[in-house]
Parts: sequence; C-alpha cells; structure tokens
Amino acid sequence: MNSTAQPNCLRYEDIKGGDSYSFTRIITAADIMSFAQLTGDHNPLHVDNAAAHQSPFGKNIAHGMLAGSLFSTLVGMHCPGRNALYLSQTLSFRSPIFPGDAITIKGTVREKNDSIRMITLKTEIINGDKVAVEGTAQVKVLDSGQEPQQADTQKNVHQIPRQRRIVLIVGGTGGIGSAIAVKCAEHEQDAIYVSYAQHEKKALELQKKWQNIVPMQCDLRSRESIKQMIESIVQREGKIDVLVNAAAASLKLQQFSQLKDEDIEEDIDVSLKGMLYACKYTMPHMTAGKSGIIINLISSIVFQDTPTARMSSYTIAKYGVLGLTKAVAHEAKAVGVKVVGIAPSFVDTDFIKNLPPKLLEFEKEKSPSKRLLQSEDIAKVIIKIIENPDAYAAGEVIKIESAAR
Amino acid sequence: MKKLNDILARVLEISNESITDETSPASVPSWDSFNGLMLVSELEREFNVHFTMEEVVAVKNVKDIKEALQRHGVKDE
Repeated sequence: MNSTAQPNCLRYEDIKGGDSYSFTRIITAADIMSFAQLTGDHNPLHVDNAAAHQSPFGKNIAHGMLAGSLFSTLVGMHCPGRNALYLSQTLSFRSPIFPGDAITIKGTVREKNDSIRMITLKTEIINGDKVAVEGTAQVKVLDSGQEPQQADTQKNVHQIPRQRRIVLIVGGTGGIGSAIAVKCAEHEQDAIYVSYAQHEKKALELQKKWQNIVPMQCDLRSRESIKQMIESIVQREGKIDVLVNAAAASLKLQQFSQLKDEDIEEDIDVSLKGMLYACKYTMPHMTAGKSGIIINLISSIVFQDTPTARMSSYTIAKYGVLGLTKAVAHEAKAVGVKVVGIAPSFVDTDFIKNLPPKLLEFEKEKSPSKRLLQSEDIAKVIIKIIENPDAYAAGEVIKIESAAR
Repeated sequence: MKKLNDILARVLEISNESITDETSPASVPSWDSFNGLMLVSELEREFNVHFTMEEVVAVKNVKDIKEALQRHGVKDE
C-alpha cells in the first residue's frame, strides 16, 4: 500500500454521466492473508490450501469483501477522489477471484443528482471476461474545501414517503408474481393489488391468507380491461405507487416454423402489449404525485447470443419489454417515476416445467449455489428496488443470475 | 441399438428407418438444441447414465451418441 499516493480531486461539475474510471491490481495470496488478519475472517476457503482444494472452487479464493473494499479505493482515490463522501455501496459476488488474478476495478457514472450533488456509480470488478463483483455506489461530491458533514439523502426525489403504499402486480397469480405479492404483503399497511386472468382460485387463496392482497380480474389482451382495472384502483386509493409487470403467457416450446399464429399473438398481446398498456395507463397517476416505481419483468434470454430454442415468441416479447423499459425510462424520470427492468435466468416455477430436465441441470451447474433461482429470490430483489429506487439508474436492467445460498 | 433408435424416433418425431449413424441436427430440422437436450434427458433415464456438459456438446451425430453410450458401459445390441 502506498500511503503517499495522491487522490484525484474531481469537482461535481467535472463528472459527467456515462464517464468511467478504473484501475487494475493483482490480488496476491499475501493480500488475502492480510485481509484475514485485519478482519479475523480466517475461513478455510480463503486461508487453508487443503480445505479449499475440497471446495467447489478447487483452490483458495479471495474474500469477496476484499475485492469489494477496492470500491473504496475507486471512490476515495479516483472518482471523485479527495471530495468524496461515500454514502452507500451494494455488492453482489458473481464469480471467484483467485490469488494471482489481475482484476480491473471500474466505476461508471449512472446518475447525477444535482440538488444534493450526489453521483451514483455502477461499480464492477472485472476478472478476465467475467464480472466478479458488481454493485452500486452512491457518493456525495463535496465542494473543494467543504468539510464532510452528515449527508442528507432523504431529500431524494424518487423516495416514496413511507406512508401507505399502493402496489399493483400485473400477473400476480403466477409463480413469480405471487411470490412478489406475498413479500410485499408482509408490509401490512400497504395494499397489494394482484391482477389475474384465469387463476381466480389462486387469487382468492392469496386474498384469504393476506388481508391486504386484493385480486383484480383483468384480461391483458384487452386495453379496456387494463384501463378499467387501473382506474378502479386509483378511484379507491387515489394513487398507485408501484407497478410490477410480471405477467407472461405460457411457453409454447415450438420451433418458430411450427408456432400457430394465435400462439404468437398471445405472447405479444399478454407479455408485451399487456405490460405496455399497464405502464401507459398507470404512469399518469404516478406523475400526478411525482413519484412512482415501475418494474418490468424481462428475462436473461435477452442477453443470450443464442436464445434458448423454442422460445421465439417469448423472446420477441421480452425484447419488446426491454425496449419499453429503456424507451420510457428517461421521460418517466423527468416526472419522478423510476422505470427499471429485472432479467432473471430460469426461475424454478411451473412456467418452466416442460423444459428439458437436462437444460435445467446445466443451468443449476452454472450457478454458484447449484440451485435454480427461486421466485422468492426475485421477490427479494423487487423489495430492494421498491425500498431504494435511487440505487438504480433509470432504465437499468438488473440481472439476477444465481439463487441465494 | 434398438432402444436408442426408438428414443430418437420418438423425441425427434422421425421414422426408425430413416435413422443412420450419420443422422444429425444438420439433417433433421426437429433436432434443435431443445430436442437435443430432451434426447439427453431421455437417454439418461433409459440407460441410467449421466453425461457431462462437455460430452453433450461434443455429440455431432448418432454415431457419437452410440460411442458416448458405449463409454458409459451401455452394450451395443
């Protein structure tokens, strides 16, 4: 460590959205031992060669937090450097870092909040062709010469005051939608509206168990039906704070050439147009109150070079939802509404029950936890977004790749 | 390998008679990656074997499947 190194001294005005800052360093076995000494984390996975040999990684790996701590260096030395007041940092550990790996620590400016002179950085640690650690940093940029003081993050424009929250989950009886509904319903003062098409039984079960879940019958293939549902919620509650678009028509699992026209239309109508109109009709009620969050369920399939076979109409619809999320995010941001997407890999629900078992086995093997994503994993991410929308950039698509251990 | 041919015919929806060692994804339109993995799942169940991802990726035609099965101790009948 070189304690005489001079930090950068960027001013808030010097930092532009989209700018990125990075530095590279090699993680050594000595670094790992020092970190273990410093923190008292002597877990064998990090410090015991023989034990690590038996682990899924086959050798010692660096502490995730050792790598994560380099974001402090990024913020304190590179962007903004001397004027930094580090407010928050999220971390996801995606893949292992081994002694000897040369890693690049990178921060990209995602958002600037002029009123409180705060920047949001997407922070990543890149190891070879993989992202080993990723997260989001929030940093206040002090005036040069200004003494650090307690930051006021409460002024943030997207923050929904913690009063009764009105949540609408479109597709709220599906595997993922219902898990989200249940997780949201844990906040008893909130009202959780769930739309359903045919699954009335499931909707009523949810309502029976959770008094604050309200089922709404809605045909997503009909614009009128979507509009009526939203108007009736707003009539009753005066607002909608959060819209979660989680509906999808069932997978057809046919080659493109074999798909029936009606099947293609169902995917486009339910999975794309349904979401589109739910956004369109909900947004005016959010902009009136100048706050709101819209979360669209996309899929990791939009990031695959070769999307999984026999899912073409689903893939087309999800690309549409990706476009929708990106296209409206900035217009929405201007009126205080945060629009983001989430892109999970396969989630262990009935939705994927007809996929080849071997495909799901390989999917599990790829995951560090050796499990498929569970719908509860998705629900937790949704709650994180609702609780702290400012941690995410407008139009950001949050990838969810591996199940919680 | 009669059992193998039966599974190929059923999963790929082709006739038993049309199957040769050279039958491959290139010659059978229904043999896409989805059905390829369906095929592996069926073979594993039928012959009680387990293939790794490397083995699955390496298979280019029916002859390769036969050889992979033989490596796992499945006898050619």
